[in-house]
Amino acid sequence: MALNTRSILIPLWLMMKNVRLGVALLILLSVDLCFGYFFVTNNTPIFEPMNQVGVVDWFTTYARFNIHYTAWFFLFLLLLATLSVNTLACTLSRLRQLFFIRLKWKNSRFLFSLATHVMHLSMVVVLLGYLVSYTLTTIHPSQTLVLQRPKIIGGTGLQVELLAMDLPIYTGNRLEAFSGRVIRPDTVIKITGRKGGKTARLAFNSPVRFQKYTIFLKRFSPAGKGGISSTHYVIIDIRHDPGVPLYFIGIVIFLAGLLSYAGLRLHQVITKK
Amino acid sequence: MLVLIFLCLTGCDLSQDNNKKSFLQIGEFTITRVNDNLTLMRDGAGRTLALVPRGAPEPEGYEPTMVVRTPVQRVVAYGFFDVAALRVLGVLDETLVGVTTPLEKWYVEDVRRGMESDKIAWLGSPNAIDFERLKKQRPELVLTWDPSIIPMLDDLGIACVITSTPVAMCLNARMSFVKFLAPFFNREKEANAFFERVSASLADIKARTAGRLRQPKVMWGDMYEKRVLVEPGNAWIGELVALARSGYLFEDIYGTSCIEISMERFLYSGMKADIYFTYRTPATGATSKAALAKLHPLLAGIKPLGPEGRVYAPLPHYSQSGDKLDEIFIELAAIMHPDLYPGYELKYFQELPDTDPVAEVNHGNK
Repeated sequence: MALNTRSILIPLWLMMKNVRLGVALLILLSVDLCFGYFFVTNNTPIFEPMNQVGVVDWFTTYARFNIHYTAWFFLFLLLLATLSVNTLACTLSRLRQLFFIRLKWKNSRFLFSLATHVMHLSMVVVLLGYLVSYTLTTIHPSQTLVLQRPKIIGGTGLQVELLAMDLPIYTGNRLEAFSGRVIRPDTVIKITGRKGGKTARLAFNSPVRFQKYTIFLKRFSPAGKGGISSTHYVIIDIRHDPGVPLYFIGIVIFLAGLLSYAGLRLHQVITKK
Repeated sequence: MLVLIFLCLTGCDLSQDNNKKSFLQIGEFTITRVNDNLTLMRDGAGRTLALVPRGAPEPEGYEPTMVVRTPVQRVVAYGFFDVAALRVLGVLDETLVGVTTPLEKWYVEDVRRGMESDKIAWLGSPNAIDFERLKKQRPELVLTWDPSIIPMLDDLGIACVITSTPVAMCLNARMSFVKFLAPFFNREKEANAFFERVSASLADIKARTAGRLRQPKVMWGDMYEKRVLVEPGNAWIGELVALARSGYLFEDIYGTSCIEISMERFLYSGMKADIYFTYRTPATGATSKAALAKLHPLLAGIKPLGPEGRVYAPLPHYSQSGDKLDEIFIELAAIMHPDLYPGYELKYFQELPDTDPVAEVNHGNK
């Protein structure tokens, strides 16, 4: 039995650590993404909710019932997962060799080679972060806030209150399409949790982090002066995304690898001269 | 590997409960039937409401105002299209208890009768709702386009559905919207019958206009004092015009219904248009081409306002006739291709004359 397992695992490992497989996977990914571009562009309403409902719910609803438009995405995940395993196998295999010859090399040469593998490993960590993010994120979407009316967000233990909203009308001349419209909404919210609270500024591309949650500004009203609706409100999304630390760690590792690589390369050039 | 396992699980899910779980997407709205006692509805704002039959156990994990007991027995509706959908479902008489348009502006006989008998209350204008009056009407559900009332309704313990979407409804969403409201009232059969009826009208339009070489250019929107608003290409109007083998001049514009564009773009498209649909009704100044040009002198420059063009204004009851979508579609096709619909009499739109008859009389007197 043990022999059988070995006879399966060894060829699988050899296949997975093959660089040619990586190249083939990258080509297949590119082709698949071309199809993806076509399907996403023409069927935006099917793909847009993925970020709102989470990928698990999206798979069992939008994706499952529109399989002819979403099949490329399943293939994409499969290819991406294989590429991750391939990257991991290649890197581990090279690292093994690297550590065997460690004693024969100078420190600088060893570190220079190590930096490349560190960058590859960091990519696997980043991809893992995205996987965790898409599968385990909890979302409390479309919470409407109006001024001075606290809202309890069920299932989070949070209470959010909109303290102030500033909707400055664009007065410049360069973007005529925005004339008379709000281009940069700014709000102040107060968040209260079980252990304390905080008051923070919330705007587009400027989310608020509180404990394990992140609060995003999604929509606001009124969007300009003299619009159809003059009611004042903002709509926010509250997310708990356990994948964020992982891909931040991945990016830090990548930067460390990149800086080491660049630094050592520079050192090599200077020493040669 | 995790992804592979996940895909396998999803695959299992696909094969196991295919008969139980169903999912329907209508534009940005969705209906997910989880089991006999739970249906999840995603509204236009992306909120998920749980529909539970009366007497069934309360589902876990939902705030009280996100749970709606079905069939809903008392409802308040903001929009004309919501009211029209209730009419399609055959529940208007028994369920509608509040609206945001006063009696004198209603053309729907059922609503007028309900308001005269005080069964249906006018709750104030949408921007100034009388919440005391609303509470008195004891609605179980409010259908609205205005998310700002959600916090107040939460306090009152009333469920709310946002029936508008940030992006204009496409043709299919417009036709299928009744299917979204149907589960609230257990009226899926009526919704399907309506959808079939409207689909048949579209099939008829498609068949009649097939092979047309002459494709009139259409524009739909209006110029106001400081703004220019049009229907974007992704709206049902844009799709219908294309289906009727005509050219919609704002086809490349994407976004919300009544989207704002630059005046230059409007006028540029106007130079190529054959048919112009204005938002204005005769009551708001659209009585003739000359009257429109007087309201906004730059409008006089667009081709439809000239002697060769045609301009149409919606009649006051048009916006309240969402339950007659099939007739409206046919009428629009008849406007675009009058030769294919000989003897057709307009019911929802009015072709504007060059000048107001009164003005002509005055001119004659002078």
